[in-house]
Amino acid sequence: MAATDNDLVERICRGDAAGLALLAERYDGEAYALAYRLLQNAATAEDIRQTAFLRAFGRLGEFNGRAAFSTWLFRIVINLCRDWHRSQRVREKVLQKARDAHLQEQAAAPATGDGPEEAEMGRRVARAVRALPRQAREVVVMRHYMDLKFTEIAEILETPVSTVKSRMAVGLKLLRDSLEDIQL
Amino acid sequence: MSGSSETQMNCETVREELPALLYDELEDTVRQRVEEHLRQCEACRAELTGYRRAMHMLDEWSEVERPSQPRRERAIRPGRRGWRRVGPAVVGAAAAAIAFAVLSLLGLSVSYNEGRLLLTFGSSPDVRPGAPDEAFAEHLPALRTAVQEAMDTRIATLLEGLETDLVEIVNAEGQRQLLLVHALDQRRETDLRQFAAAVDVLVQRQEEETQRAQRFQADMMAWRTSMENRLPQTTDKQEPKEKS
Repeated sequence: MAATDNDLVERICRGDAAGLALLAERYDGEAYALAYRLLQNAATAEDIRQTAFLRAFGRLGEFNGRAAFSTWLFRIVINLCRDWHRSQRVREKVLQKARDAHLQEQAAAPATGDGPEEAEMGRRVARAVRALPRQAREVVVMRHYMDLKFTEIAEILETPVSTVKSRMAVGLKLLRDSLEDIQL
Repeated sequence: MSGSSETQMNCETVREELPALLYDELEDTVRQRVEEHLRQCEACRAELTGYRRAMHMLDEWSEVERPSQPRRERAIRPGRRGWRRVGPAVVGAAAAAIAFAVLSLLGLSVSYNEGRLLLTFGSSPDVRPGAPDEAFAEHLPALRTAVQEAMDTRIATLLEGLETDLVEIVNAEGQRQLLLVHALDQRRETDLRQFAAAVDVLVQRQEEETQRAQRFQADMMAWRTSMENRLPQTTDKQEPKEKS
């Protein structure tokens, strides 16, 4: 039977360094996916993934085991994403305009290759998610793409469950409005 | 009073629960009350339809791009949507990279032997966490001597050559040339002195780096010791759980 996260944390604290690699492997993809879907920038998501693991393992002594390790790690990822957003807000506005213009050009160009409609729809949905208010975007990404329960999200965000559900409702409503012309 | 009238939900309450209904997270009793309200309320049904539509549209964005890595389909943790396009090679390489980075930072040593990855704390006699720095430090005196010897030889050669040149120039072109060469001589010596000083600075910096690495290693060992001091309590508590 696979060791639980807390077992691995205890093993690390006992000096079994292999636990580090096991924990990193277990959450590598999810930490990256969370950062990527929130930021939609592969290089930055990669940086955040690495920083999150370094921070988590570097402060493992502070991990008290009351919450799950994944909750603790995802909270670090979320906070790093927020920090990045704060530092990049102005720069991102400029870049975003350039990206949107580029995407509009791509949309206007004749489609080539396999499944252009699907790819375009995916890009549109990605843009719509990116346009969501930060709080709604965090909840939508964690609930829909990370498949975390509302209670888990509430724990990560240190917010009441009712607030998390409200943010999800806001997110779905805004997505419905911004994508209403798409035919499923 | 009937149970249904007691538990009647208004539109505002129902709409707060719609996301939980969509993601199948409502307790049975609450779900029944929400569904009962939906049967009677067209506006809330329309709201639910809109949410469901948005939820399905989110599935259209399934790609998770990783920088400069091939993408393959893999469901490492079924039900975790974020994993769907993450390939095993990517996961392995990234995990290994993380492990190596983290382990190095924590003063641990990593080696690969007969198909097995070996990870060891620094106290092992076979493992030297600060090996590169220590190795460099060991060779530092020899390196410094070699640099000094090379410079001495070079300076002597230059001076000999300059002396010979000087005699020839004095004979051939007179005092003006002599002064010019003297100036050049001074300039060369200055350059060599500056070069020697730069080498000293580099050596000094490397020594500082070595000391810093040793201090970091000591901190890590202290951290490890503190972790081990916490061990007896946690181990005792967890052992029965592991057996079960």
